[in-house]
Amino acid sequence: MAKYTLKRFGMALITLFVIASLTFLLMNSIPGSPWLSEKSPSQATINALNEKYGMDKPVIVQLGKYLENIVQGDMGVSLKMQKNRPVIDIITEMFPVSASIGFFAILWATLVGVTLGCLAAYNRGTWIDSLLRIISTIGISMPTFVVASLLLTTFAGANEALRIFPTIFNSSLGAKAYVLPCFALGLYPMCYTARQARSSMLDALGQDYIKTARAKGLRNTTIIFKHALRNALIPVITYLGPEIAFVFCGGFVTETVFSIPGLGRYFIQSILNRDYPLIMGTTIFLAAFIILMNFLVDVLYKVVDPRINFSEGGE
Amino acid sequence: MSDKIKRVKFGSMQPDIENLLELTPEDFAKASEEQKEGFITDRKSTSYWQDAWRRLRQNKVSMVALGIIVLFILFAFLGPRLVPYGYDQFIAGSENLYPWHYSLEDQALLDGVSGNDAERLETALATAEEEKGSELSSKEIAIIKARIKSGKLDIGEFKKENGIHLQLFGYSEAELERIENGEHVFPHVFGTDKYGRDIMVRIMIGTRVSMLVGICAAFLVLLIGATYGSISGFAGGKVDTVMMRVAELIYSVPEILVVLLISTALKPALVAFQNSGGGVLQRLVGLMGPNLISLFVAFGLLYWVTMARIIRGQILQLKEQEFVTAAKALGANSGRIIKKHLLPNCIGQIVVTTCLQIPEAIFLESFLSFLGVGVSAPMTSLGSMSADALKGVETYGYRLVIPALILSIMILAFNLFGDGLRDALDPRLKK
Repeated sequence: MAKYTLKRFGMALITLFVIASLTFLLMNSIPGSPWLSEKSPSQATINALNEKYGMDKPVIVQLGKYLENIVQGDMGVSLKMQKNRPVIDIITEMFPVSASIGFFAILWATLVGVTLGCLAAYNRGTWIDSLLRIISTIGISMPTFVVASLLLTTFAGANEALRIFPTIFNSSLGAKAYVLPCFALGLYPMCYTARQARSSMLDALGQDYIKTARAKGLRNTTIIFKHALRNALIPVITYLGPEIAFVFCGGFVTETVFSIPGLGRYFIQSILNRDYPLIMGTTIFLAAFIILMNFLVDVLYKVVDPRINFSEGGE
Repeated sequence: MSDKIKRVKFGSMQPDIENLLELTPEDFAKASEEQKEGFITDRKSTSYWQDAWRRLRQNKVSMVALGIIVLFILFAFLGPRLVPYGYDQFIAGSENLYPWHYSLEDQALLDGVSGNDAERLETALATAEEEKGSELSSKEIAIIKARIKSGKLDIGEFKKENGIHLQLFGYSEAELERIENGEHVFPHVFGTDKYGRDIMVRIMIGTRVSMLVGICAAFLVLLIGATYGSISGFAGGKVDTVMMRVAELIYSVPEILVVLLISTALKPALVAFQNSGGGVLQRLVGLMGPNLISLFVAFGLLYWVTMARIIRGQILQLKEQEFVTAAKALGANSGRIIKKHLLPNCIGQIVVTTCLQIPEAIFLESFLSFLGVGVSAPMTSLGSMSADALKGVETYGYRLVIPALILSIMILAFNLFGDGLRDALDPRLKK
């Protein structure tokens, strides 16, 4: 187990290193220098600036320096959006908002998804199953921005009677402000989880140990919750990793639509404004977060399902 | 009690007696000599694809989905030829049309009513001023305005009394007059936007962009994934381990972040390239737009992993079989074995995975276009149209609803068709 964890961790570090380098090299390859904005400074000024920021050195040295700085938590300063403010400051200010919305979205998506999936599996072939299948298929076919903007126009739009929720996110409103963004963000993962939970629950219910449990005369609820559900949850846990990535990247859309002052919206704005240090910093930060979460999910997966072998050849 | 059909509990081991009892003695009758003779010749041999097509045809949902896809293809590729408007053509005088209109007489009636309101306000203000003898304060004006407003005609009631109905499709007043004069004017079926561009044509072009992106990206994934996966699976050993480690690494990269990053970084480079000369490549870049190319690059770099994994798994199974040994004994080299013997044997999986890749690519394209980093103007896309519509959504809700709906239906159709195709091509997977 320890060896497995260590191996996964090593893998996560390598991925992170690759992303950080890729980000740096891509940003470096963009033609034009950051000093050429409205007025063109003299060559001497450019040289001085290049020297100050270490940009006169070879790219590989700059990359090393950049990585070293990141490890120390220094991601440079914003060039345009909030001039000269450290990127790490901006991230620590905005990330909690995104994280709280993402957390609630994942929470409801998983809980409701698993419940509906199990309900469909247990009532296989009935109208409940068909209905849930229709809903989940439609749910995974609607892009997040479609759901978000339709929700916004319906429940925060011109219609007085339906205007229950605020148009612009306001965290002081409490739960009310979170309902629409969390719903929009969680709909796709919820439907996906439901589909997965249904098929794995069906799989589990067809196993021999369920028959054994029935033969023992156990109550239905005991069989469902104690025997089948536990095993059916394992594929749901594996989906948690991609789900986290989806929710945090989908946050770009919901935060834009609902005007939430989170990191996702800011990231998109920094891309549109070409604020390169901010783009780099946010990309690396979000990637690190997602990779770390993936690592935790991987480890959790092995903890929950001890049947998986940890030997080298195990796939 | 006895004639009631007992519902068999799920997971029960009881045999299903009801169905067994439906067999009649005739079912056990001996076959006649004729039937025996015809047994072999009556059956035509069916190829793999015929068999799959037969299964697919039985799946009603997929057939409906296929029909919808065909309709969308016609809509996107033939539609713009039939409509006499261009997607980037500003039609003067037809700005901000709704997808519905009033006939000229009805419009005149309605104008008369709303004109009345303003006149009434003016006269009321004038009389009030006369009474007071001096200029009115803003508060007094507001009170009078409110009074006029509350006494205003109920438009809905007025419409009902005069039999005014909304009519389908958008026309500007000038266009309605031209129709009166016997000219033929093509309607703005979905209305127009604030620059007077016909929304239906824009949606057709947007659908076309989405479809092209989906299909091209899926082929790119197919090409890279199939090559990588088959080499990895066929080579085995250390090569396989290293190649799969790399694939795993790419799999754990958050794709959307990298896609955004690549599109940011590539755009200036591509724009510079596009302006560097008038060669074929430059024109191609100009035609597709820098953002779309970076989207393809990102897709090609990141999304092939699933395909590669699936094909590797198949190849690992297949390469141990006798026909591969036979091919080797006949002196075929690895490339030939992969191309001629192994890949054709996993064609079902390849087709299904490719087909399910299309909606994923459409999803991603619309996501990026919505955020403003996808297809660049003047080219349009369903995602960027939705984003534009969001600004005026309270008055012009249809501009958001139509592209959003079309996008969702398109993805749904591709998803359902892909599912059906999987069941048809690989019945073992069906649950």
